[in-house]
Amino acid sequence: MPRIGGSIFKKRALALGLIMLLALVTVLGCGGGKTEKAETAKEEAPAQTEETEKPAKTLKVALLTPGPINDRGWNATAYQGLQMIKEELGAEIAYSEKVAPSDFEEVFRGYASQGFDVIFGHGFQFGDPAMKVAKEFPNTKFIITSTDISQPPNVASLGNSNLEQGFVGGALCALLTKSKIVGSVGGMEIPSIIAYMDGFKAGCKYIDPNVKPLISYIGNFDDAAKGKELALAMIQEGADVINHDADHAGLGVIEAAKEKGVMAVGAISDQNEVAPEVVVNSALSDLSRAYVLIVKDILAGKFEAKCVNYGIKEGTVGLAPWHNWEDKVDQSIKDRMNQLIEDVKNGKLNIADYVEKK
Amino acid sequence: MGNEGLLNFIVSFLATDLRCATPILIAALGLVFIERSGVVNIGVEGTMLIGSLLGVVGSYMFGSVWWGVLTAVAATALIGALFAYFTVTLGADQVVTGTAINILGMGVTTTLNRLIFGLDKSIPPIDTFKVISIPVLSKIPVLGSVLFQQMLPVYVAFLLVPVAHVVLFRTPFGLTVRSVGEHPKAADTVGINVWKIRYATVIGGSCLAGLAGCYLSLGVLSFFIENMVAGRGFIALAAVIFGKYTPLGALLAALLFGAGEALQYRFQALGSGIPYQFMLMIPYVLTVAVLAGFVGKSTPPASSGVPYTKE
Repeated sequence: MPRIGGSIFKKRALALGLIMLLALVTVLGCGGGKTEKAETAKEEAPAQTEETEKPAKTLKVALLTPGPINDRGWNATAYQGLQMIKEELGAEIAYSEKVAPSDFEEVFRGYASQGFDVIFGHGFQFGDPAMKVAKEFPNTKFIITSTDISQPPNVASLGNSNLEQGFVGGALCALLTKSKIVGSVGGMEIPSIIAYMDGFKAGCKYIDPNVKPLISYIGNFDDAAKGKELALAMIQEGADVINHDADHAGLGVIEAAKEKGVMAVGAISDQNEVAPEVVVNSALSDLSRAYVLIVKDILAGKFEAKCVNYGIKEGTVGLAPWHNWEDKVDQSIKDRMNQLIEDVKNGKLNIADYVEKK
Repeated sequence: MGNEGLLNFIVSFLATDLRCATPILIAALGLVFIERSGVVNIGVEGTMLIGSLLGVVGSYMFGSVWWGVLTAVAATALIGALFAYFTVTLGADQVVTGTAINILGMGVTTTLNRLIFGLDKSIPPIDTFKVISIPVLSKIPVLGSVLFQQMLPVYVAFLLVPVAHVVLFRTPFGLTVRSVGEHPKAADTVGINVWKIRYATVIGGSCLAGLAGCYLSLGVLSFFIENMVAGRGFIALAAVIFGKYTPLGALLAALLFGAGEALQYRFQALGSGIPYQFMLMIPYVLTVAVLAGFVGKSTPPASSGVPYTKE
C-alpha cells in the first residue's frame, strides 16, 4: 500500500533527522576530544578563553589531558596550571580533555594549525605523537609532561619525579601505620604509576623495613567502585593506612577508608577536602607552577628543547598542609617527614638506594 | 590462616561478591524483559550513567536518598521512552540508537555534573543508602552478616529475581512479552499491541538500569564521577545472554562475575606476584569458561533486534 509505505519513509527520514540531532547535542555536550570541541568550549564558556587587549600578539597556549579536568588529581593540576598561565601571563588558552590516544596527533595538528604557540600534552603517552607532529609545525612549541623526551628545535618535556612522590607517600603511610601493613591502589600499570609504586615501597622500607606495602591496580582511572573494593580487600588483609595513585578512581579508595575508619593519604593534589576525617595528608605532585615557569621562559625567548626535571628539590613534590590533622598527628611524625624532605633536598638521602632492584 | 581467618576471608569474599553483582543484576533483570520483547538495548551503559548522576543530583537537591532514586528513575524512564520512540515507533536501528544513548549519557552527565557541582575540589555531602540489618536473620553466623547486612538495593535486586521469573514465565503479561519477542506478527494478529509491550519493557528496563546506576553512586560510593559505570552495563548485557535470557540465569552470571571480581581484589591484596593484568582477567575468563562449559547454547528471541512494522 503506497500510503503506508510513504509514512514509513517519512518516519525513516524523521528518525535519521532525530539521530543527527542527538549526535549534535552529544558533540556539544561532550567536554572534549576533537579539535572542533576546543571551539565549542570557547563558545560555551567565554570565561575560559579571554581575548586580552594587549597591543602585542597574545600568546596562545593549548592543553591536552588524558582524563577529565575535574578529577581532583593529575588532570586537575594541569588545568590549574593553564588557568595560572591565563591569569599571570595573560595568554589566550584552550584545552581538550579526555583525549583518546588515537586522536592525539589530530588534536595536536588542530591546535598547531590554528596558530597556537605552546601546546602541552599532559602525560608520557603524548610524547611520540608530539614528536611526529612537531616536525610539521616548527613555530609551535610542544611540551610533554611526565617523561624525559626532547627533540630540537621545538619539543621539550617537564618531568616530575613520581618516584619521589611515591617515596613521600610511602614514608608517611609507614610512619602512620600501627599494624605494619599499608596499601596503595594504582590506576594502571604505566611508567609514571610504576615509578610511584617503586617510590612507595622504597619510602616504607626507608622508615621501617618491617612495614609491608600492598600494591593493587584498578586497570583504569574511572572505576571508583573498583578502587573502593580493592582498598577494602587491603583493609581486610590488615592495612590500616591506605594510599592511591589513581586520579579520579582514587576517590573510591578514600571512600573505603571513610567507611572502615582507617587513615588515608591522598595523592597529586591536596585531597584533605575530599574527606577531612580520614585524609591525613597528600603526596603532592603539582606541576601547575612548572607550567607557568616554562611559558615564562618561552616569552623571554629562553626556550630550550630539553627535559626539565622537577621534584622535591624544586618544590613540585612534597606534602600538603596538615589542616585538621595538625594536632592529631604526633609531632615526631611531622618532624620526620620534614627531615626527610630536607635530606632529599640537600642530597643526604638518595631515594634510589632504597628502590628494589629488578 | 587460622580457622577464624578463613571464616573472615569467606565472609568478606561473599559480601564483596554480592556488592559487585548487585548493579549488574539489577540492570540485567531489566534487560531480560527488554530482550525478551525483541529489543536489543546496548544503551544500558549510558542509561546507568545518567541514573548515577541524577541519583546524586536528586539527593543533593532534595536532601534525601529517596528523592535521589526517584529523580534517577524518572530521568532514565525518559531515556527509555526516547530509545523506544526511536527503535519501536520509528523503527531505527537498535544498535545504532543504543550507541547514541551511550554517547549521549557520557556527554550529558559530564556537562550536567560540571554545571551543577562545578570543578570544585570538595565533594558535596549527600544522603546515601544505609546498611540495613534484618532483625534476627542478621544474627545467623557467617551467612547472616553476608546476606542480611546489606543496603536496600541489594535486597531489592535479589528479591526481584523470583518476581521477574514468575512474571515472565507464569503470568499472561510475561507470555505476551515473550510472544512479542518470538513472533510479533502472530502476537499482533491475536490483538496484542506489539509497540505498547515494547514501550513498556524498554521504559521499565531503563528504570531498573537507572536504579542500578543509583546504587553505584549512592550505595557503593557517595559521589558521581564521569564514566563511573565503567562497563557494568555491557557486563549486564553479557549476563543476560549467558543467562539464556532468564532472570535466574542472569542472577547466576552476575554472581559468578562478582565472585571473579572479589577473588581478584583479594589475590591482588595478598601480593601473589602474578601480573595484575591476569588478575583483572579473572572475572571475565571465569564467567566465559563456566558459562560456555555448563550452560551451552544461548538462543535469543526469534525477532531480537528486528523493528516491527505493520504491513
